[in-house]
Amino acid sequence: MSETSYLLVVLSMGVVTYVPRWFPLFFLAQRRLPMWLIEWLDLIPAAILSALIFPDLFTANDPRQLELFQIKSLVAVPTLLFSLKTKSLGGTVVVGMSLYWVAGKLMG
Amino acid sequence: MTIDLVVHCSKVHVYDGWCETASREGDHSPKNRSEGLLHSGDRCLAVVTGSKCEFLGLMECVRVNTRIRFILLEGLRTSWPICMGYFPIGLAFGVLGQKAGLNPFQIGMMSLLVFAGSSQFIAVSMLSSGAEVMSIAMTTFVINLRHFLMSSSLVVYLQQAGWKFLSAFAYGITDESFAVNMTRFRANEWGKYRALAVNQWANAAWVASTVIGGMGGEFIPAGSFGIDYALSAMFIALLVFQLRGRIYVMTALLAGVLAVALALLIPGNSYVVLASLLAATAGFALKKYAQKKKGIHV
Repeated sequence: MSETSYLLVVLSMGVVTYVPRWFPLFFLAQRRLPMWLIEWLDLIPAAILSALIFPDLFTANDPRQLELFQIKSLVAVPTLLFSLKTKSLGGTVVVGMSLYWVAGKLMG
Repeated sequence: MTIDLVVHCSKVHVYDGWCETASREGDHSPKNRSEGLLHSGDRCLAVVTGSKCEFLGLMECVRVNTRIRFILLEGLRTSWPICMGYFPIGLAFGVLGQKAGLNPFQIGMMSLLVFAGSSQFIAVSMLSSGAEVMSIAMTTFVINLRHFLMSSSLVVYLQQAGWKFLSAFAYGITDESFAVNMTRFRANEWGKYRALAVNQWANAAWVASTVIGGMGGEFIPAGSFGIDYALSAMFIALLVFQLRGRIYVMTALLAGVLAVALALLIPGNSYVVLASLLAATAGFALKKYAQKKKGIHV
């Protein structure tokens, strides 16, 4: 593939990725948001985080299949407990990584 | 408690207990109302700390000299789990790109212009199979549409920011930076420039790791020290921070179950947006219903 057509691919990808990131910031920032919208948006982060994590932990393969018990999901349990107990982001990351590493050595 | 900036109190806009925007004493033009305009030695009337605006009487700004360094350091301290988590993924992307015939410069260019991991992986595999520009762009658009929701959610904390700042900030909104910044904003301990610093540190880590991968990252052993789990663990902790009441727990559980079900049914990653929208709407309806029924707050 030529340099120019690669550049075209990357530029078009950049534009279509940037616009959805920019649009709500640009058009909503100067407006007073209605209370119901703020309350609804308040629930979005918890929902998005869950929607990102659960499939990552409980599915595997391509096409995806349900895989409730795999190293990822088993390690998630002590990681979650540690996080609930300590509320520490850095600590949770280190503990999760260590457990995953050890579990991989033991089970893999 | 950290001092964020020293400001003229009458110009401080308080939004949900969070102070934003400032101006130098005597400087009342609206376009100059931003954090960055204070200089050392300016005479100011108040300080904005993490969550409140305190009146301290006329005083000199002394923190300003170290502001940029302070902001960058705070950003780094907050974003290191993202940066670490990006490395194995970035290396893998670089290796994939190299195998598809891209040089490190081309790989870095994509990471810089697009900055969205999963869509980059898919684009490279589409490129290798000879896909058209149009279909790559369409696929990328659909995959990255979820940022629309994140951006809408962040806007609550970025009211009053100028269009230049917002345009720069928008570039760095990813799943990871969104989750980290949202948590800090929520805790009333965050400022927009530190949020931008988080975005840009993550961006630097992403670009660097993909370029390194493109230069021969397959020599770095995969799976070292469980680094592949860094982002999963980070998301678990960030989810925990979001669970500040029953309604959040219920919304999160519903979103998780829906996401798994949808992920199994539909290929691609539209499950993120669909599950989040449905769960947040259901959670909102439930909250309103409970408030109406019992007159209590959930």
